Amino acid sequence: MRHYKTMKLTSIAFMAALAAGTMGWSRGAQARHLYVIASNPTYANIVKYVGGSLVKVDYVTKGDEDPHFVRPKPSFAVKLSKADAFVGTGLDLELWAPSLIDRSMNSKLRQGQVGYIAVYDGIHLLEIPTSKSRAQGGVHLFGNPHIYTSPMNTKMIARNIAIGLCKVDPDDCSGFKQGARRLNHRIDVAMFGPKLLKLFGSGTLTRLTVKGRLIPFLRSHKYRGQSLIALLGGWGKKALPLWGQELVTYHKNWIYFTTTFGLKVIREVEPKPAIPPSPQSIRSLINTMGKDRVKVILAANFYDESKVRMICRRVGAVQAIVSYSVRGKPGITNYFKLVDHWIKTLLRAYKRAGVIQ
Amino acid sequence: MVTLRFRTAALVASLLFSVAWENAAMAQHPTQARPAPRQSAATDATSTTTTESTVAAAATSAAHSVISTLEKRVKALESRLKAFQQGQDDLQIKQIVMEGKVAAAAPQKEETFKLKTFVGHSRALQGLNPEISITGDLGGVFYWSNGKEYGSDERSGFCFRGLGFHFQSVLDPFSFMKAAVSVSPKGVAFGEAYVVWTDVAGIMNIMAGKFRQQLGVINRWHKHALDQYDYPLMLQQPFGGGGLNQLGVSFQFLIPHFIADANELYLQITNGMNKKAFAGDYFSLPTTLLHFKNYWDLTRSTYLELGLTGIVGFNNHRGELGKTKLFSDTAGQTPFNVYDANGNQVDLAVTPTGPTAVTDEKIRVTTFGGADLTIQWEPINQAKYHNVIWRTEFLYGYKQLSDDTFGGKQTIHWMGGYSYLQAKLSRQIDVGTRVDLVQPFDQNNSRHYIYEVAPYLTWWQSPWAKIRLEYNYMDGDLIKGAHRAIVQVVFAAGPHKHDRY
Repeated sequence: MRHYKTMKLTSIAFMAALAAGTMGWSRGAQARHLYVIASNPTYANIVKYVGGSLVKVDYVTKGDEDPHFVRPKPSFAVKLSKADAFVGTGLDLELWAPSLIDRSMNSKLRQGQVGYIAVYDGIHLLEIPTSKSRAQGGVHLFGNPHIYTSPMNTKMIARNIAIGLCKVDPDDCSGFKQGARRLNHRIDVAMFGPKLLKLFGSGTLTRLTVKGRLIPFLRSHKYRGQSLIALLGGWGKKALPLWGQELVTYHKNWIYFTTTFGLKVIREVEPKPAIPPSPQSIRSLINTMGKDRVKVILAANFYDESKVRMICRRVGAVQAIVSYSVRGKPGITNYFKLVDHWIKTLLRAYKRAGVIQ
Repeated sequence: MVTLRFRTAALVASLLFSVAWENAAMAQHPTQARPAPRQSAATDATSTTTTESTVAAAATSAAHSVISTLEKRVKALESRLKAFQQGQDDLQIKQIVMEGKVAAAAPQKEETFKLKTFVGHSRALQGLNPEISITGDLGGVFYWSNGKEYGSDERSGFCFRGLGFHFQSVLDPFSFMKAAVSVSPKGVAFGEAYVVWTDVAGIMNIMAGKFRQQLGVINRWHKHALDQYDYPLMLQQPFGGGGLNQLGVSFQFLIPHFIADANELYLQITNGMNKKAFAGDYFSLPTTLLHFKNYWDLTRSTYLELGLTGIVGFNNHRGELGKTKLFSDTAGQTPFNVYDANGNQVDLAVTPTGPTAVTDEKIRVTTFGGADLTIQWEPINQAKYHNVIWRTEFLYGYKQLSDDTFGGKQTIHWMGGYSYLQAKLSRQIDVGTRVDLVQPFDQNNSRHYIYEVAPYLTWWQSPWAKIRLEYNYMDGDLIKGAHRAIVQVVFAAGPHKHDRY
């Protein structure tokens, strides 16, 4: 009898524990976030803006790492094996990604599958090579893949991420769409200022900016007796002194930024993409910079800084060494700080070079 | 627009002026505000006063009424003017926005209606071809040993080790293939060709075909991708110059990482077709390889990898001598039975001899056990310019041989290893040295050794072409010291890429 009672109590306790466990599990399931791996911290930051508290994000390359050359380490495969979605450019930038995804044994992240998000889709790509030859160095066959250097492209990136997340988690789709819309509006305000945005709306301003025609248009039109340029705010206003300025970049990875903010890239330090500069090519570059009076070299902080400094010393130019991605330098914790950082660094460089006041 | 504004403003101004003038006149001469009423002379003073005040009040009231009306009209006009101005602003904004849209719009292509040739694409599907890339591995070797510039199997001169044709393609949403064929003056070598299914049953990748096996680290790599000119002696001695490359199936598991940041397990079941270690053409039983990989990210820039490998296979010959044919177990019997060319079971007691003799040797085992260790330091933000890598592998082998004529057991106990240290000095220059120490893969080798020292410098012209200078010195207690000075040129044309880390 006593034994029976013990058994009964044990059974009740077991059932209670099972029920509690099941409830706990279901609560855990309800609170589950989408786990997203981005190829770099900038995309990860955009995912966070879009997904908010609905997503948990991690990334593969570090902020100060060259996104072209990443070793497909097993620890990355472990991260990817647990992911619900992978966010990459989708062009020929992250050539390391397919083998890493294969290694992760997470087939939903493979190209064309539900968890694969290619953010380039819908972006007007520049520098599509007319001659697909290695004589041009490390050409990107489909166009320049360094897309997030323009805030205008980042809006499309956010939209693509929202679409991708919707596919993975349709229940939270409205939240992702709202997140993308919020980010896009924030980028518009940060880029153009509220007055110009109210006057023209996002679409027209974006199209003008992508084509590099915004500033000439604003300068050539007046409203209530004053030039429309007076209504420009945000990054557009801050970067106005940069409009039309010439510069040299280390690699061909700034074309979207320079188109947006009206800078003119005269040459690159690399004679061709991915080809290391030779003494001869550096001599030629120094001659060109001296002749054309180009006073600034822009380089991401994962390139050979000493070479940039040497060239600058030789021609009396100023180097603008920047973080290329979110988390590429302390304090650059989000996309807005990243664009601020690019503009401030360039303004400082041109001021130091005596090109602008 | 300016004229219209001016006219409106003038109209309003005139109205305001007239109202203001009327008000001023009324304030100065209230009685003149309207015609004075006729007054009777007979009217008394009181009634006159009363009448005057009544008239004045009426006049004032009338004047106020007029003013109020006029004020309302002015307000209405002001309001209309404001609305008009707003309308003008709206028009201007619309005009500017429209101009903005026009400026933003891409130039439209003119529509044409010319006669043209229509082209179909059904016989031009090159876009679906596999990715094809070509690698070249050539150079020159100056050999010097025992006072001569040639040895038994080596001589000084130019060499073309291989022109590699590499193919890869996604087959369908579930699998992809890779293949590599190498052509050299010696002939064509079937390097690798395999299909990979990823994420099978949610736990593994399966690879089937001919592939370089997961024996340590280096053995997986193609010759042109090595950090030195040749495979380490640790691979060459027991498996031959090409390392271990056999036909079979491979299962790769990314297992939960319980002792490292990543743990991978490889199980590979292949034909024992390596001639030195296994049965060569006369294999019958499969070779099984197990590799356990442990990977740690020690710091942001440093990783450590420790791998353990075990191989069990067989080297006894079975089959029809003179022909490279694998016996099949078509009769559903154990593969230990021997059949003739017609599929009839052969009585082993009367195994025919001669060129078509069928043999069935007693089972002889070959086993290997090894470990590999890699530590690499590569600063994240300078990965293109600097790194240091130290890699070491060790292998122990045991091979049972045929009994000697007296029935005595014959075996090989063998050990070998290598270690190399390499530093990337700049974007284009790697320097390093590899040291190999092995026993000859032969009987009675317990006190014998071969060693090799190989310092080298690799210059990367670009990511697709490199030139290497290497010096090798090989010596041992049974061989004469040999020097090799090597200039190696390696190139890759096309989308060739390596998945090394």
